[in-house]
Amino acid sequence: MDDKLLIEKIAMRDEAAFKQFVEKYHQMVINICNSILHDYDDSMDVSQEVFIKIYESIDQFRGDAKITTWLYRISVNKSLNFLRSKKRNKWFTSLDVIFGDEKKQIDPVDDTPQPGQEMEQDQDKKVLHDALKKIPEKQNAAISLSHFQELSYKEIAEIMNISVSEVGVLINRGKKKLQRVIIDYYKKN
Amino acid sequence: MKCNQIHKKFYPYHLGDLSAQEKEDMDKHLANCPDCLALYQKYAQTISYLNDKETLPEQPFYYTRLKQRMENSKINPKNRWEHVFAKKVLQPVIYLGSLFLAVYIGILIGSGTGYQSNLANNEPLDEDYIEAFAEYQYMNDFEIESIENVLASGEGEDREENK
Repeated sequence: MDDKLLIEKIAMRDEAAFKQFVEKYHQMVINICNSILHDYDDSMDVSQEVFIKIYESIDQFRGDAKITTWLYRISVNKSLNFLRSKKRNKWFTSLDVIFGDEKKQIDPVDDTPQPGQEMEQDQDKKVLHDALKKIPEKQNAAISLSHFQELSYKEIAEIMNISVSEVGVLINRGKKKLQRVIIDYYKKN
Repeated sequence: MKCNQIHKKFYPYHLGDLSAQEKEDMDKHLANCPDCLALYQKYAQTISYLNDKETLPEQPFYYTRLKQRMENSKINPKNRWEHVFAKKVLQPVIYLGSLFLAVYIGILIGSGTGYQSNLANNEPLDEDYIEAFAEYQYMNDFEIESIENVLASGEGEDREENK
């Protein structure tokens, strides 16, 4: 069954079509979310929200863009929203710690040593992922889509609804900011 | 070039976007400054992970879990709104309230309560402490003299002569 027919059937609340749609695209959606969130559980959670959103608003899909572009757009927006709400919640979590709400206290970082080089690689990757979360979200999204999803500037422009040159500017500025954040981190540590 | 200026050029240096002269300056500095070299190597290593495409493994039972979640949100749409209300409105209001209360209590403690300040105003001035202080200036009825007084009286010189 092709995508157009699937969409039409989902719009008519056909469960089997929706199942087929999810089976076909869930891996892609999870990986898009993960390229921005870099966390398995969060990516699973947000990817489910993406499919719920698709199921609820399938009528809004006009069909002039590719279904994958639409999926990318929703996944990126949902992931960025998630990061935003997580930042807000972090503020409240720190207040919970002050006011002694033990349930919401931040999990202690697992400092268990791992074998040498692998541990260093993981740490460097974490530094990069944390740095990406610290730069402006549009720059984060553009860099993540360009590098982790290996999309062209044109595809990113379509997903983010901006011009190709703007994508270039976002990526360039984002990488300069990344450099600053990474160097600051290593200077402090 | 100073180290900080060098750090700002790591990104174009890594990309090979510097002019020949700038690149030469960078190379020279990095050859002579082990700290900058170590920092550059760490930066280059970290930024290289941008090219690592992470792919999560195939998720079995994904649709079942998704369906379960959709069912849960369908069963209790009212609870969902209550949850949103509690999370977005009630929680910030409670936090703000407690924050203001804490600041207010802090100010009260800092400035002292009205009752205490009244007491402080009405209490007669206790002059006994002046006498007590004067008494403590003596040890075993001997007055503690400053070194200047001892030297001025010439006792110090007498001791030197006796020696």
